[in-house]
Amino acid sequence: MAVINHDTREVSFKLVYCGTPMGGKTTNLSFIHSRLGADHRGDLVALAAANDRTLFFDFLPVHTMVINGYHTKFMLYTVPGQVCYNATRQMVLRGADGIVFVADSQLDRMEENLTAWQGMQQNLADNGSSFADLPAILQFNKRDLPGPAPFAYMEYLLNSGPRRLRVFEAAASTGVNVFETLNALAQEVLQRFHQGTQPAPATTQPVPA
Amino acid sequence: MDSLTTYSGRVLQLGGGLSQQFRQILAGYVQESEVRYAALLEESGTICADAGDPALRDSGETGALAAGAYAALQAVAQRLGDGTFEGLFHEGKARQFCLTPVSPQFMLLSVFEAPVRFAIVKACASKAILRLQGQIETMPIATRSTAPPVRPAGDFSFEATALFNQA
Repeated sequence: MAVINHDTREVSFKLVYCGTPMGGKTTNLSFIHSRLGADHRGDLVALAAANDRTLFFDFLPVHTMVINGYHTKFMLYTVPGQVCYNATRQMVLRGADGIVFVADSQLDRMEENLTAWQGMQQNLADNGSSFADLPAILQFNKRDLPGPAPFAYMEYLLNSGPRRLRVFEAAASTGVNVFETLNALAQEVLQRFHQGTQPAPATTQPVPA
Repeated sequence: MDSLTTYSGRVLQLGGGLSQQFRQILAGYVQESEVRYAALLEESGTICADAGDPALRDSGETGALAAGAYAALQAVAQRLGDGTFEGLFHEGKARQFCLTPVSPQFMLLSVFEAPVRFAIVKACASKAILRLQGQIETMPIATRSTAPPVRPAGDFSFEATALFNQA
């Protein structure tokens, strides 16, 4: 839920990175943290198990001045991707103002992509939210690995519904289209915030890696 | 603007001196209970108001973690068959803290250290919570049309200049 504090002149939004287990959600946040100046971000907090898998969530606050006179903060979260953390995922998704779905482009991960995609929509529904109403961006990650799934195939699996999302082909480990993904979602959230409750129009043109 | 508003756009607004009133209540609570720091958190972890030692305030990491811990423990309680939730308390060697429910959407974070006792904090917190609830409950629910405009400082179409640039 967006929070506006007119007294301190601050606006904050919650953006959540969801997606396939080991798909690169934490890598997105790590890259943003490493490349954003310290005056535009806080600390990256990672609640991970000993094997570096996300246990609860990762959190990174980033901020800028994009609303006239208001300090604007985007609180970036990741959710744990593993199926067993469904309840945790649902909790972190509560009150999200926007979502990045990070899909893994490796061919053998398509079933997990689909499971995570459907699970995310179910989590939102269980929270009383509707995915159809929420600003969202699709990121096809790991396009730099050999033999990625064809773009059209991933589009067919994840983006062939009535609502077509903007898609970024990314390589989060090297930062390709990481900031572009964040900026696109932030812009969509701000547009939505400014214009009202209608979903922002999505383009269908992919952004190549 | 003198309202705490929630409406279909899922936006919560604090204005018209409301956060100042929250701060005054928290400052009184800090003074009475001698806690080191107190903050009113929204369920997403956003700090709506705080008082006490400014060194304990950060960019939002503490709020996010506290709200996450609170929500997780509450979910565990529910799963174990307990419909009520009184918050959580950490008793550390250097510092102690507790998170206490204020309303379904807000919680109170109190950080304290010896010789301040939890029982005193709890008693003072219950009084502060009543005052916070009073402020929250008297605020009218507004519609989007009555909410003040907060206009972006630029063009946020998809082709617009990026908000964040990597170094």
